[in-house]
Amino acid sequence: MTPNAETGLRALYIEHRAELKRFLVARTGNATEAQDLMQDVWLRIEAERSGPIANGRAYLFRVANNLVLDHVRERGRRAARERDWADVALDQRAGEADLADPGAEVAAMLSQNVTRLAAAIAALPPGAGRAFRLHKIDGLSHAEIAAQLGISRKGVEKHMAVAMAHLRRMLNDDNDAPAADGNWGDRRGRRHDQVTGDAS
Amino acid sequence: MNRHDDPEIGEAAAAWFAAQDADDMDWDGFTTWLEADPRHRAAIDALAAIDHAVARQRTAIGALLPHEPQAQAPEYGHRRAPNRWRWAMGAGGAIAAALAVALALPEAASDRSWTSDAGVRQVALSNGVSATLAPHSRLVARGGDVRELALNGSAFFDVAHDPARTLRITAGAIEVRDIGTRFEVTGADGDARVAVAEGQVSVGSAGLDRPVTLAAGRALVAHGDTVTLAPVDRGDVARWRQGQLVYDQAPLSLVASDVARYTGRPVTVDPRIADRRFSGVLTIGDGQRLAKDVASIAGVAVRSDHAGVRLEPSGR
Repeated sequence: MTPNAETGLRALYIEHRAELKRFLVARTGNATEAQDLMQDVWLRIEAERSGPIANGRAYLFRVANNLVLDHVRERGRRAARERDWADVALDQRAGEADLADPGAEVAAMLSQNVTRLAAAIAALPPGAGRAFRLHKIDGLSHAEIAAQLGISRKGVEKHMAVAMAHLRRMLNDDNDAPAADGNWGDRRGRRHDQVTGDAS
Repeated sequence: MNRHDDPEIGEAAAAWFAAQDADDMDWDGFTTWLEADPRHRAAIDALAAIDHAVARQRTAIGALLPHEPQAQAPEYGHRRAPNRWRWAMGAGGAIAAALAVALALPEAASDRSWTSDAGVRQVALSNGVSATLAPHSRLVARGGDVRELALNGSAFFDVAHDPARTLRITAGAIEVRDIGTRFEVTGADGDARVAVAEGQVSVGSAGLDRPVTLAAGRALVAHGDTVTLAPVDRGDVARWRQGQLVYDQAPLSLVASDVARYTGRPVTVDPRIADRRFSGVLTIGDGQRLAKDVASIAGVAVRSDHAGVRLEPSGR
């Protein structure tokens, strides 16, 4: 790592451009989008003013990965907005819907998602559930959780992987689109009761 | 991502997903794994969606989860990062939290809240701190602590200078900290706006690496993860108190959420135009003309039915 973070990162970007691009193509499945994201990575590191970065190459990949996640999120938000609109229109056509209090309508929709998420999290295997709550709900870092639970960082990571795999199974949608933004298509809260082994 | 879903893929995806923030993440291995099968990418995207849904609504989820003594939730104000964004999860979290209060769930039971109806509402929060709520807005004091506020809607705050007291307000995806000043905060879903009339505030957002200081005559608009700064006429801060809405390059989705509050009906924006910027001055009146005025200024179409109002790209 050169002592100068700015020039250091730019040099690393140029050096690892091909691998970054390959990652972005694989991650997005879309060469055009990958190209746009390459530009975003460059803009991001140009704006970077913080001090030296320990592992520059990993940092670049993380920046790229986070930009992809932002894109996925934005797409999900759009899809959810579309679906919310369709749902409201559908309810209306169904007749009886009382829209005197539209706030209640929105709240009901959101609370259903929240309830479902909370139920799924509560149903996680104990170790994975604890780690997941500490990380995603209480905002502790992996290192802090490792210290609190007296396990290794890799152990925390394993717990998180188990938790994510379980959540995906429990929240699995009947639609083909990933259920972004908490709008899980299945309203009945179907979930798999079978819970496999816990990583500890 | 369903029937044809392979459990092995699901587990591998979860392992990669959990490792992506680690310093020793194997990015080349991840790339190779992604290239091996397009379903791998879909599996990762599905996990990202779950992760986002949880992050966005984590306050509300936290309130619904059974209390777990071993988890040892940190004491309030004890640590830096952990509960920093607890309230910052947008209207989803705020509305759901409101619902949690209504159901008198244990953890949220001690929250205090103030809701305005069709008119503005004055709220004296404590000595030297007052808020003016715009119509159909809601302010929650977490655990009854008036220094820890969450806002859904719009409000103008008047805070007397007191170095011993920092006020924290979360709205949309932003967090505002203030010691003493007069400013407006608006937050709904992914959008938020802060405009300062006097003094200065500090604003944090997921879209910002570090909080920015906003001085009098400056405004910040957060739209999704995009944050923009702009000058604002101090007289225009919380102009709704004088019956007008003033916008300068505001995201159309933010304008729509304002209009929804004044009309009391849902106002949605077609995703194709949700990122458009809007500038103009609207007269609130009884609120019923607002959507039409927005549409004519923005050059978009407006469709209204029993379900609400929809802003769409114009036919041309």
